[in-house]
Amino acid sequence: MSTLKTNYTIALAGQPNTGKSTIFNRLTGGHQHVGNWPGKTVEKKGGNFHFNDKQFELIDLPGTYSLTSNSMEEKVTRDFLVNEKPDVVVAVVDASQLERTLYMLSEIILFPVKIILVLNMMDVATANGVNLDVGNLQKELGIKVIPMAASKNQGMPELLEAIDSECSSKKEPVKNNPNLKWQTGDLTAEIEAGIAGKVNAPYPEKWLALKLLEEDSDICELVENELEPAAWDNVKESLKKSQGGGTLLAAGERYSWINSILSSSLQWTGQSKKTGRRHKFDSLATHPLWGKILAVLILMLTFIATFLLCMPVIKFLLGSMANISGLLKSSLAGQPQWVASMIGDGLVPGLGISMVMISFLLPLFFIIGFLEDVGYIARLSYVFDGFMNRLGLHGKSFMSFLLSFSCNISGVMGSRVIDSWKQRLITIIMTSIIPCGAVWGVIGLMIVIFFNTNTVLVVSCLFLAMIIQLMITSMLMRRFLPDEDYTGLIMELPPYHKPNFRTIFIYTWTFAKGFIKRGFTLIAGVSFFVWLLSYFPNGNIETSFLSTIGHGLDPIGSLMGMDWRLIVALIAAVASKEAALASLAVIYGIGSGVTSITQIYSTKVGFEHSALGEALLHSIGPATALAFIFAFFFSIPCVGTLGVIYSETKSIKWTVGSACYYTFTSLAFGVIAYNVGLIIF
Amino acid sequence: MVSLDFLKPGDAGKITSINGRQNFLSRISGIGFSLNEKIEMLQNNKRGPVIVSLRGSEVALGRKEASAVIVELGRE
Ligand SMILES: Nc1nc2c(ncn2[C@@H]2O[C@H](COP(=O)(O)OP(=O)(O)O)[C@@H](O)[C@H]2O)c(=O)[nH]1
Repeated sequence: MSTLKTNYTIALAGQPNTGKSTIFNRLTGGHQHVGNWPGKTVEKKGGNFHFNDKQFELIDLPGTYSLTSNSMEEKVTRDFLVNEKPDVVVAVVDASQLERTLYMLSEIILFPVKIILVLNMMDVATANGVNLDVGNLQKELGIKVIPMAASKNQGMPELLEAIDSECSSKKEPVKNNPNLKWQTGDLTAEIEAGIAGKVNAPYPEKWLALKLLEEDSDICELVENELEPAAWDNVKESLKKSQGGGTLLAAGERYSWINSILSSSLQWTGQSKKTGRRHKFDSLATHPLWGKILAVLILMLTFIATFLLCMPVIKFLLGSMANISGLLKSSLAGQPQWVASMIGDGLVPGLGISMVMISFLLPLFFIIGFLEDVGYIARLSYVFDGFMNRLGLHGKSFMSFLLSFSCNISGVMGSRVIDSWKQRLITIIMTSIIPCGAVWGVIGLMIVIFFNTNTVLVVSCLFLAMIIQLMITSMLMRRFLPDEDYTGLIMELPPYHKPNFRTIFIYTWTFAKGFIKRGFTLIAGVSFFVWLLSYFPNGNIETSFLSTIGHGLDPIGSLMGMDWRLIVALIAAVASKEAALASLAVIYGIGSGVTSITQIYSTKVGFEHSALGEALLHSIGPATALAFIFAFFFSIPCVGTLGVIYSETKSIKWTVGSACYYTFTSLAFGVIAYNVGLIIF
Repeated sequence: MVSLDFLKPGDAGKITSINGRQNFLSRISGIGFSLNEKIEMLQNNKRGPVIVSLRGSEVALGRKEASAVIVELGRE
């Protein structure tokens, strides 16, 4: 066996917006894999690259501002540093915002790991008049420093060389680095002395002392367990001296270290730091009124562009699905009828609807990736923060809600921009309240048939009910999920950047993969299952299992004045909202082309709307219609949405829980609407 | 001394104290806030979040969060 190590683990760390993803993509190219940190909902991105005949595994640590125990992302990072002991940590900072972005390095540099500092965005820094003495910085920090402009592919070879040479260097990092030029504050020194040699944990003592000063809950617990009671009491005495200001003291100490490091290396040439002068576009984008108008315009353009891009594909898909399904059926004419129906009405439509959805989601995510990459999404969150506060959420949830009006799946996935996990979970669950385009298609028809002259009134009531539902749900969510960590909006507004299409493509692809893994298979599977229920035992929907279920639910249906047919329509909508109309058409025996309710999943509506309207008008009353409209408006999320809720939360509990909750509220709204309807009509 | 939400665009000063619970303080520290640090108001409408500039970056703060930051007015 060779003693020479050729497999290395490299970790990439840094604050958000420093260009970490760009560097990650440059280094790994297409060879990446995305998963989750074991037992966590935090995304773990890894990839490989080769250099000088050696293999490097690159782990992208979550982008965070510091390393406290307040968020899962930060815990993941610090656990990784001490437990997995990467061979080298590449710490990325933004050279144009050194003072602020070095904060993360001030945490990492205390750890016993080999570190390479990447000064990214050197192009921006130079343009801003920053003059950096890299050699001096390297000396002050005692680590390798590589200037880079990742988006322009500058500095990459130097980084690779540095990684390689650090990996092969024999110098091992020590737990408490004696050469660190860090002016320890009095209180920190006192605490450090208090725990010196007494804590058996992989964390360095200065870092522990600072974390104790910060009142980091996990670290306080850890040290308390490690120390003798008397020693812990001493530490507690020291901590009391900060009079509750420990967190700020620790932060101040870190920033002092940064300033002392930079004082001899950083110079501003030309006019000094830009102050107060703001970009014209940014003043518009963050204006309380114009900013909102601009945001809505941009998002409307996003939808329009998405539709323009995906319409031809969808048209083609729908056309060919109908043909394929027809062809398959006729070629299977010799087989038993159920085989032909299974393939033509069950499998092909299920795959069809999934492909239709993907062709809609891909361009949508591409445009959102673009908006994110240029830095616009932060502005969007900013202008809608006040508005979202009323729902107990902050501005970062806004985009999810808006996206949900087109498709709930995109709303759930759009929640990834939210950094606090609880806020994100609340947003994910709540987006299902927003009626997507397909829901509007179905209830639009019902409203026009039954409430022609009162359309505006009904729609207003629906919106009002939606707001009430949003408020109740948000209240419940916050009750179940008390968010002690809620800190409101604290968000960096990154400078605008030229879009980097490589990053955007990779972003889109990651989303697509996430959807294919869950949504795609689920939608196809469930629509197949609905076909099964509607076909068996004897090929007639009126006597199928589905109608048996519908009949079985009669007691519930009768609370809303609905018979089994409307109930079946509600059930069929679980596979895809559009299916409700088709199932009604089939059950009412209208429409020449439609023989199976699942056909609608992939073919254009093949029946006369007016005929369906006639049939409905004759068989149900306005109160029942109103009940159906409300129940459908608030119905349980479609399986595609449930699939991505699961893949984003990794929690069966929240996925099933939200399905049950929304089923219940949907019925509740239906019952209420029915009874109100009975009074009115 | 005033809280940050009272600053008008163009006003500048130094942070003298920040109030709040530990997780708020540690988050706001991580994004660039610390005692004695210079800060400038860039945008402040009567409602909604504010935008400030510090350490060469722009940061948006919710209104409630801004009211927890106490500033001594004046440029050096
Ligand atoms: N001018 C410039 N822009 C960069 C550089 N590196 C990354 N960017 C851009 O900065 C933005 C943020 O980069 P990203 O990699 O997404 O940052 P992350 O949040 O740290 O992963 C994107 O628009 C990038 O294209 C660079 O070296 N110079």
